[in-house]
Amino acid sequence: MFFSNDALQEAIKEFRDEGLDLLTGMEEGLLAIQEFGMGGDRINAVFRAAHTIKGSAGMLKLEHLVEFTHIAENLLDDIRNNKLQINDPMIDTFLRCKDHMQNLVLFYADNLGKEPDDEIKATSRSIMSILKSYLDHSGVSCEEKATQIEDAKGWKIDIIFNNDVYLLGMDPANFIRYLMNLGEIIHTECDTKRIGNLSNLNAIDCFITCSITLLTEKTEAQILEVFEFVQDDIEITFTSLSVETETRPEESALVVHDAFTEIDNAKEVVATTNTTNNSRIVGSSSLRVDSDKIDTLINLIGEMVIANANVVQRASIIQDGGLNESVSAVSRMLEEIRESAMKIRMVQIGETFSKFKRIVHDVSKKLNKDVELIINGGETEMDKTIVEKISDPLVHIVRNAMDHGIESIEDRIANGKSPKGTLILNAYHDAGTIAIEIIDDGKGLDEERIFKKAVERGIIDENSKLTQKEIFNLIFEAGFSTVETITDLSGRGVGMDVVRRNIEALRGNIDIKSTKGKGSTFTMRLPLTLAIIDGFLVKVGVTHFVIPLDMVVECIELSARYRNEMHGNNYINLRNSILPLLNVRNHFEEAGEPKNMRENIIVVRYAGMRFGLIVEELHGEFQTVIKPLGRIFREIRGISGSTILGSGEVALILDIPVLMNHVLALQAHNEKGGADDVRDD
Amino acid sequence: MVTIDSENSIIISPPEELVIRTVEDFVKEVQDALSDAKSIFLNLIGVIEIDSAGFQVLVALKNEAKKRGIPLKIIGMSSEADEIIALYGAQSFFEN
Repeated sequence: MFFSNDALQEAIKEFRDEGLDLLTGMEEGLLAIQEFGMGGDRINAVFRAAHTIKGSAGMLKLEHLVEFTHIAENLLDDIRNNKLQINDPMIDTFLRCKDHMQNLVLFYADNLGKEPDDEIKATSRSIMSILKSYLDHSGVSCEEKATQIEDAKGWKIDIIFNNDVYLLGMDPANFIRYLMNLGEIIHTECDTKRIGNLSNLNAIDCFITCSITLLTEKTEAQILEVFEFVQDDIEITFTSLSVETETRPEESALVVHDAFTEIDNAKEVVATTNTTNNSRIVGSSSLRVDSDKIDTLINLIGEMVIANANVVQRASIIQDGGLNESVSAVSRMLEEIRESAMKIRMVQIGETFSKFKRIVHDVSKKLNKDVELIINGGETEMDKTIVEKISDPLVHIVRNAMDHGIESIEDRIANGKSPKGTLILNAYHDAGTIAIEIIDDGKGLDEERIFKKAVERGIIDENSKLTQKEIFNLIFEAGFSTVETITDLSGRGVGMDVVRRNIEALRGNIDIKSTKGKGSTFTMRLPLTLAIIDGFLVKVGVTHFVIPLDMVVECIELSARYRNEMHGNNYINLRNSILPLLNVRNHFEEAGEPKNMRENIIVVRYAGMRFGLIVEELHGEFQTVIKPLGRIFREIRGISGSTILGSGEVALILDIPVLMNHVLALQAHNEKGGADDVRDD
Repeated sequence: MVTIDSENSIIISPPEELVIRTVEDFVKEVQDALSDAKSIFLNLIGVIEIDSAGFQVLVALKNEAKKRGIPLKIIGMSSEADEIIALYGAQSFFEN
């Protein structure tokens, strides 16, 4: 092995990340070809993806993957050269091919140095035989296009490693060792003068220059592949040893970049390295960073926000003008740093959405339904951790919508609907949360059937009186499934409760609206971020509370007039609409009596509804680092976390969604339909 | 580790891992000891891991000795050190 174990692991990790990206691109390309035809650069993009993966796999000696991808690549090559017409079954085979390549990539990433077992190889063989049958019909020999440029019997290779090679984690010796696998090294010479004297040596810079005489059948390009990982940091010169290639011009001595381009012009075999090279250039505008590093950064900034709050507090006691000015400048910058750091974690949800094209394609085929997927708001950004965690719940809801929601083509025609069903994925920002809607125009939820089923399953009592919303929410109960025949897509009744649990674990919630015969809308609401928020600090008795600032609409004084209007009820008339109220002191059973001071109402908005919180002191905006509450506080409803104030005191973060449900439940029980009155949209 | 005997010949025994992580400290230690050296003995028997950065230091040490006109002799060799010196084709460089 020419990689040390660590370097190999690193290389495989990079291969895995790059490979998965390429495969995603390949899938998108295939689906686009299916939808819009071969135009543009689509087929080339698909070909390049396969080709690059094969090349990288070759470097890492992942033989089975190389063998498998080689066949697919040949077929793609024939298609892009118009020797073969692509058709739907072929695209399906390529999609299977892509899935299998993905499995192989993941296999190699997880099983360092192992080759796949027989089961995986059997899958490979079955797909390869289909690919080969297409190839046979193309009537063109697709055998080994990668023939050698010339019959070189060996090379003298002069390599100058740049100074920063060690700092990049590379060891030149490993490359030389690896060259031994390509042939026989008959002579090596190291330029000891370049290294210089010990008294002047900067030991962490690399001064290795060597000349290697290698007897090999390999081409210049194949040897260059060995150096792909350091291609930007070496100068390499090839001189052919072979008598037969004397015709070859002397200028075969090229700096590595030129060598790549040169050979690329001559022959497409180098397309691998070259594409990788290009993608690196494009990639240089973005940077792959270990997410742990970002988490550490954000944690540190969180600690700093807390420490800064303490500084602000102390400075305000000293009341020194100059000091206050400095402190506020630091605070302002800290806020900017915090915002930029949080942005690093933000990714567009579009990437997650686009994988649904494939899911919808596969599922509609399986169910024999015709479904069109419309994606809106793919550019909406949210925290990467959240994006990752909602992916599975989303898949589940989408599959459910296609399986149970959208009717079969016959049923749709019979009901006077267009035979093509529509599924919409919609994402947008709303009051400090991100909302994701999954909308279908299917048959909608059947209240009666859900109710009956829930009674059968013993989830509810048959005499229960439930609102429509409560009935819909029954489908999130564990062990609930309304489909008589269980399909392999959904209907095992193990999904929706897990979906809701996953979403709630992210401090989000899910809501259903549905009209029988018209369709359903599932709305997930999730926080934008998990770590630091802008909060609004208030005080009740001796306890500080933080309300997420994005949810705060306005603050009003609880004046005598409002107090009179309340008559002991929990709502007021705010500009001619009813505003339900929650007294924070009573709700959290704050000890002691309120001091004789005026109270305030904070109007908060969440999921299109409003309610008011009655609090005592208002302290204003406050950057809040969310600290989870310990396990013993798990049962406390209405608190989503805690934070530390500048004074060192603890403030509790109010869980507005939970409090809102509580208020609505109270309201619904006090007067029928009260919940509808607070809707403001 | 560097030891100096009464006649100012120094015996240099590099650390077990003569690699990019350790070379800077090693170089500093040797530079400090080198000033009055009359001869250098290099004992590589204990070197069980060596990379190109380590190899480079050995070459620089030999160059330094040549410049000062003092002899450098290798008195112990591990298989790992031997391998990398051979890989770079530098056996004869250290013998002269």
